[in-house]
Amino acid sequence: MPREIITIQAGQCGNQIGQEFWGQLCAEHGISRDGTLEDFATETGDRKDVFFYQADDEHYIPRAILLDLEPRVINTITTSAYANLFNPENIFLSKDGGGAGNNWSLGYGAGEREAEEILEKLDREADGSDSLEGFMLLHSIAGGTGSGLGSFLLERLNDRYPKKLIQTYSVFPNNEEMSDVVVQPYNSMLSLKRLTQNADCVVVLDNAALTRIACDRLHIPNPTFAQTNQLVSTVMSASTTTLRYPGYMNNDLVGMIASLIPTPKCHFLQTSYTPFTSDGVDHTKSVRKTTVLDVMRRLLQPKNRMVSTTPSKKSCYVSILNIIQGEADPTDVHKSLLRIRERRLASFIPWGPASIQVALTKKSPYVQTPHRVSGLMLANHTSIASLFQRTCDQFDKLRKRNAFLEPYRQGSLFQGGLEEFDESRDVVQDLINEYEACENPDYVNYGQ
Amino acid sequence: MPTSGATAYTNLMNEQARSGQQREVEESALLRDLIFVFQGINGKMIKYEEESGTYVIDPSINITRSTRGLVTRLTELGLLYRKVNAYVQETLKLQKQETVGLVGQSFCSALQHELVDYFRLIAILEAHIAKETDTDASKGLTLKRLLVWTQDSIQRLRLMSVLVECCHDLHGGAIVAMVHDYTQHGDPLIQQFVHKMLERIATPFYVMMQRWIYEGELEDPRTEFFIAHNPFAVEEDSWQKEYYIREEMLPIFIGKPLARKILSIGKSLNFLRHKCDDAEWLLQHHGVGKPLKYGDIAELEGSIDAAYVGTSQRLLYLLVTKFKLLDHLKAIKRYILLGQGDFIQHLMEALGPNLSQPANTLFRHNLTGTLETALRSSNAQFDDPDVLRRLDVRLLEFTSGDSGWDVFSLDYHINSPINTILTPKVMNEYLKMFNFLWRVKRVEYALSSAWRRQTTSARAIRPILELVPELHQCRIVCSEMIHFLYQLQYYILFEVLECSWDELLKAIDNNATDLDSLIQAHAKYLSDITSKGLLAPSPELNMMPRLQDLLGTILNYKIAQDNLYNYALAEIERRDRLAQTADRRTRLGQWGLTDQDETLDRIPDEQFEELVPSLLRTLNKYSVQFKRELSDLLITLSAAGDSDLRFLSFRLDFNEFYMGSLKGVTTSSKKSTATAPPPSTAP
Repeated sequence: MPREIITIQAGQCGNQIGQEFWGQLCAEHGISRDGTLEDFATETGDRKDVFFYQADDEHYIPRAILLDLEPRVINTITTSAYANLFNPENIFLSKDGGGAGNNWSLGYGAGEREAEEILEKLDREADGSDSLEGFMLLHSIAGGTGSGLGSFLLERLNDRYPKKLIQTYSVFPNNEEMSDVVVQPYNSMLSLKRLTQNADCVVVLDNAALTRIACDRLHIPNPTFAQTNQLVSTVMSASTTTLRYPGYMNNDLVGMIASLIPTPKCHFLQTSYTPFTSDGVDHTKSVRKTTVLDVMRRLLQPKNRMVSTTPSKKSCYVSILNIIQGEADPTDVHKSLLRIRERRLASFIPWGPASIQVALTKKSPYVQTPHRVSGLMLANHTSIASLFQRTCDQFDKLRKRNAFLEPYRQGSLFQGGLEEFDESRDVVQDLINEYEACENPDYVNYGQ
Repeated sequence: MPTSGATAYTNLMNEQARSGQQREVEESALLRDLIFVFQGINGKMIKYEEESGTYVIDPSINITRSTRGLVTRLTELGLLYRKVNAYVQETLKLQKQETVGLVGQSFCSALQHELVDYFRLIAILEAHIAKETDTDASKGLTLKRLLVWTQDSIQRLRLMSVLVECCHDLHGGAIVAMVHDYTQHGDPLIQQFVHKMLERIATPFYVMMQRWIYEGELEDPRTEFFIAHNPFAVEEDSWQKEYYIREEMLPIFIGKPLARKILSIGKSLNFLRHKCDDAEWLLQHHGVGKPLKYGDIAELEGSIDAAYVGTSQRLLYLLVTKFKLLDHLKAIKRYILLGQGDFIQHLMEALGPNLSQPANTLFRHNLTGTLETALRSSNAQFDDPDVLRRLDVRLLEFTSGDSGWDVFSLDYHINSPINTILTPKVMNEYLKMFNFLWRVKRVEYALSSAWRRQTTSARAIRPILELVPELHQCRIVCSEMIHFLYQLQYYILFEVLECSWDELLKAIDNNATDLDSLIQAHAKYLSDITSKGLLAPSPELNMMPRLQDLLGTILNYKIAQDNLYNYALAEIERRDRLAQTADRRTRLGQWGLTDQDETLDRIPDEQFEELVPSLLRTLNKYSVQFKRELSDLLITLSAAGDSDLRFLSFRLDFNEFYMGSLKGVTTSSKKSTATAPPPSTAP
């Protein structure tokens, strides 16, 4: 009964992140690229069965479903060194292979059309687990497949597995600069509605911040998607360490996110990670002394945050969980907390108790890093509303002019009109309002 | 003083003149008599008088006063000899009855040895007297010469008689200790003499010590050594109680720290032999080491230290390697102290329903089966089979009304020799800790399931608009409970378990010199985790009952919340059914809704008046109770001087949310007691 988690990777971004993620997990658990256990992998402190299952020949196979509407990325995976890692039955490629053309509506429509085949894969995978904890969706919300097909799946998963948790790692577009995909705001808005209503926990990552981190922290002038995706997979593997290396606390997804998400709607988490290193880049001057305090302090710095938000004066943390990996001294934790409170490095909600939770976990013995200690922060912070607000603003600009709406009308959801857009806008506005209400002491009486 | 010397001389002359007139006793006769006296035999003129306990010179004989004085002084030697000899004879007599210890015997023999010297002197003196008859008086023995020549012996015999007196009732090591005191004497001659005697006296004592520290044998039939054996020590306590130090037998030159080391060496040897079956090592090191004798204390200490380090290291090495002490400690941390999260999760899930039953309906064999399953399906399966074999279920004694939760405990079997450190008493403490941690875990899972319920049913019950504020309240309260429980657990994990474990490892690595220090380090670890873990009784704070109450309230709240959600889901189902009926009717061409069915999107009136309010009342009751109990706890914690408890309150109120409300409470209570509050402080 390992509390399995099934990973669904949808679209170009989702599959690229997924590819990196599985590579990272394999490395950490000592699983070779074709799923066999490496000879050196003799440590037994890890749980592989949360994310992998063993085939009859003892090969480890990821509990992953790969979905895409165009073959490019998936073909890359199936021709890579990891080709034999995945269960070929779990790969879904649209028959026409034309992709979703960055249109949410096409992605959603493809989902409706192919629902049977996709859900059959999900059911099979779910039946193969003893005590399924939930699903983890990897996607971007700006394009067509990840956002549209992803949205469709979120809705269906709710109906089909009402008691399972749904966590997503959602990559938000870089809305600081103009994108070549003009309908991004539409796609984002429609996806955000599903993320608000149909997901239980959304880890928000945005390309603007990922690019900034790659530039500033890793000194890569023009980071490619592959490089930013590497950052995402680092975050993902770090955020799942407590599930994979069981300890006294935070051994399952519920245990981990229950303390992060006090009210169901406010379930958008930001992450920070430190210190970043990249294999190819040797001019990173990152060989610093890392103590628990250093790590915890750096995690609170905006420059390490993987989401670009613009906090207001009232912005505050709803909750924080720091996952610290490596040779951390448990006696340092208290000192660090004391220092952080002394210096008022983090401000918290005024309507209830909140703390920085710290989980110390093992580091994989098979992956060498130059740092003694590394840390990931999962935080629920009200400033996330500013990101949604930006999306709303951009959405409103387009919607006011009724620009580029034509391609959407073909979708089944839009047959009767464009209410879906406005409804989504309302849902997101509610979300923004609730996050803002969260900054006030009377949030306890919210909704009365 | 030349003048008095002169007068004395004239007096002497006069007396000689007078005695010359009467019958004069020859000096040689007196000397011969004295020789007898020296040997404790009565002479012709000098006789021992029992009443006064002195030698008395026949008053009728005519000797000068000065001679008489001289002779009297010389008789002292006889008296001393009598005393010493009496003791020796007495001891020899007792020795036959086997009541005198080895040290006593050797004391006796040392005395005899000295007496032999003394007899030699007497023989020489006698020879001189014999010679005197045929040679001229100037070379012969005179009383004065005798006095001078016997000075040494007098001094020795005096000392011996003092020793005899002091040691008369003493025994074994005490004799050594007593005699040793005299080596502190200022006179180097006496020092030397005592030292020489002590070498003899202490010989059996050192032989015993040698046997003890090199072989671990306590060969002490007359209980003379400062280490004693307690034949009544039970098996688990054998290290602590089987051997102990007999303070009165401890010579001061050994000192307590050294004595403890000596005790530890022998204990370790015995432990190695009987508990660790390490005969091989013992054979190799059998009797290896310098022979011990009285004298150079530094050298003695050196030998003892060498033996101490050798045996202790060997013992510690064996405990850690052959008997896997650290592995057992880690296993206890993993299982009894819930470190192996996934295993505990399985166990909790599988046992949960069983444990809610009354305690007397539980059967151990059912539970052990569940334990097996939990072990197999978690990462525990990769653990050392020896460790897993030791894990077991124990049902504590129960009283009527107890549920399974109260009596269930994991157990970890410990056998010899590790049970010297992890004694049954120690294990009992661990089990208590398990019971507490297990309860906390149970509440954590209850809250997790409450949270899951809230989250996953949130979508389904969204249409019940009437309950929106209540459900929101529910989540806020629940999140407060989650925060409390998680912080309590983080406190237990970091401030209590991990920090103490860290200290234990450091202590084992750096300071553990022998088994005693190991036991001590572990005892400190255990007392740390029980006291910081709030288990240790601190009656004024009453922490444990408070926490139990809080945990109980949370469980009650969870049940109340489940009831509310059950109701809400039933209500949604009712609405769905109704909607379907309405659909069907519409299709049949009838009115979709009849009068009774107007409740499609609202809670029926009768439920809204009775059922729902009662559900909410229960919820509210427990939520108020929780808040009250929590704020009581926080007030107590903030008042506590203990730094560990302050850590807990620091964690529970990291964002100082409660601080504000607590201040409100304390100031308002102050206000109510104050006679005239200044108007400016009124809100």
